[in-house]
Amino acid sequence: MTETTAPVPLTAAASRRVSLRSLAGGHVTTGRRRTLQLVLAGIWLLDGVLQFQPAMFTKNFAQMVIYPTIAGNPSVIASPMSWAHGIILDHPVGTNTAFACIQLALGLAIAYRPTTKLALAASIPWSIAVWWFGEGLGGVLNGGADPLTGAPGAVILYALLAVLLWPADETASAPFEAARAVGAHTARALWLVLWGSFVYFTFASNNDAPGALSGQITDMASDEPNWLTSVMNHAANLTNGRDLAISVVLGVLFAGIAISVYLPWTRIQRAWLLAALVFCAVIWVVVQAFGGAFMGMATDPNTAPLLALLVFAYWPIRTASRAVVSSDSPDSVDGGE
Amino acid sequence: MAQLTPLWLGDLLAAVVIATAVYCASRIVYAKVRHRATHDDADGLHVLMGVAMAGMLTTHLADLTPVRGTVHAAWVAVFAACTVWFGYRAVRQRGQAPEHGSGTIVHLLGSAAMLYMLAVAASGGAMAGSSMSGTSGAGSARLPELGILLAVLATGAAVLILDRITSTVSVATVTAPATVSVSRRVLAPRAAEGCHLAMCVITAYMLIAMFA
Repeated sequence: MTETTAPVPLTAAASRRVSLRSLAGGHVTTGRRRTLQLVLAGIWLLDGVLQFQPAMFTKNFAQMVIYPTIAGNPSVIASPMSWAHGIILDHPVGTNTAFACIQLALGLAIAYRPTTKLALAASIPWSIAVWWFGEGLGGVLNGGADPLTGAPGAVILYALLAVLLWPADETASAPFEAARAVGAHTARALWLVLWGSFVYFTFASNNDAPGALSGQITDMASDEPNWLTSVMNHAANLTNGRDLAISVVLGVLFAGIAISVYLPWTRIQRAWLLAALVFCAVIWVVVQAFGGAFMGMATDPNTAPLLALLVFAYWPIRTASRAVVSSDSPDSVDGGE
Repeated sequence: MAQLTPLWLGDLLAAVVIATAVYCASRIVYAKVRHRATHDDADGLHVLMGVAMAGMLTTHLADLTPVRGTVHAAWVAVFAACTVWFGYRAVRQRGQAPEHGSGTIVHLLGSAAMLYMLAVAASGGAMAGSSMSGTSGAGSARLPELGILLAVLATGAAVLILDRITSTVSVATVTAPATVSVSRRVLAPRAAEGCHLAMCVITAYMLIAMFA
């Protein structure tokens, strides 16, 4: 196999590049933005694989995953949910096969460059539909929303990420990747609404009631691997009786993160975003138990990894290392930044 | 058990991995006959993985991958050897361009995942509804953290493969070893990447299904 070294002719590659660019709608995404898209694709793909778990093909999926989210929602929201729940309950194999295939296809299509835009666009209505019919709007309207356990619903974050990571002109100046597609003002407003809503949910529901947090952690800890159960039980003991204090700390943290993207000081912005990453890591392990991945009924990795992905989308771009390359240069589409 | 598990899914995926194995075997033969370049070790790994995975996925081919005995030990030895080989190659390729080393990492991942699944099957935890079930149940798999990690890595590898297939750099330059001559262009590189992709996704599914 080892013979003379010679470059492979790039004629075919050049023509492919042209067709790729036309398929991608004029923007060939590279570098950090493409990495974020690929992470999103990977999470969608993982969701699809999780949806293929054997238990999902049984009535348990409708009864244990869908049904509990209906309670407490206004009838205008709950009635269509009940209708969808009935269909899934009656046809668990057919409906779950469709759900799994759709999520698998979304993940693969986002990773496949010519269909990235199409897949991102398709993921938005799909996410909204699942958020409504499958997650009951993440408990936003029934008082069950808690940022620690998964509010406002993991799936709506997929839609938000699809919008923010839409292929965009990477040669234009932007303070962070999320600003490229929708503009800095809109991107900052979306961030403010998301993290600002966390402040509201922390205090509006019963999340600061005595024993609420430790109870949630204890509930999640059962049937997990021993080391994780141990960590979660330890966390439950630590938080027991300190719910109000924890809520106040979290409220301040969320408020700081929410307004951080408006701050003119990049270092302070980064500090708050780093705090957001630490928050994501802690709740993913201690409260969300990796999305319940060890339980056999997880449908997604929960909100923490998606929030972390959002943080990276809002991470300030260093002006000096910003990838400003000509879209006509082969290097600009072949490699990274 | 049959009511709880999608047996048809196992049969379908078994058909896919067998087709992949047959295709990869034919690549090796065709390349030898026509003097075309291939990644023989990668194609060989896919042949082995396809046969072993088919035995795990469907009860119809359970004899291919028994959970105990000499044949099981042979499979463990084979995939241990594959893991060592691709680990060795990955170490040797350190410092090379990512496109040359990343394929080896994917194969190392596939070999390690097969070893893990064989070990879990032997210890009693296995895919519900598969030929390797019988004592399955939530949490029965040993070291589930490693299984989840391998599944996440497999999905990540699948995504990277798809991105690489459609990156604008020539596929031939991506998949061919750095020293392959023009006269020996790599045989059907996109089809080879398709095999990697199929194996990665199905491996991820099998790893996840072990916890169900």
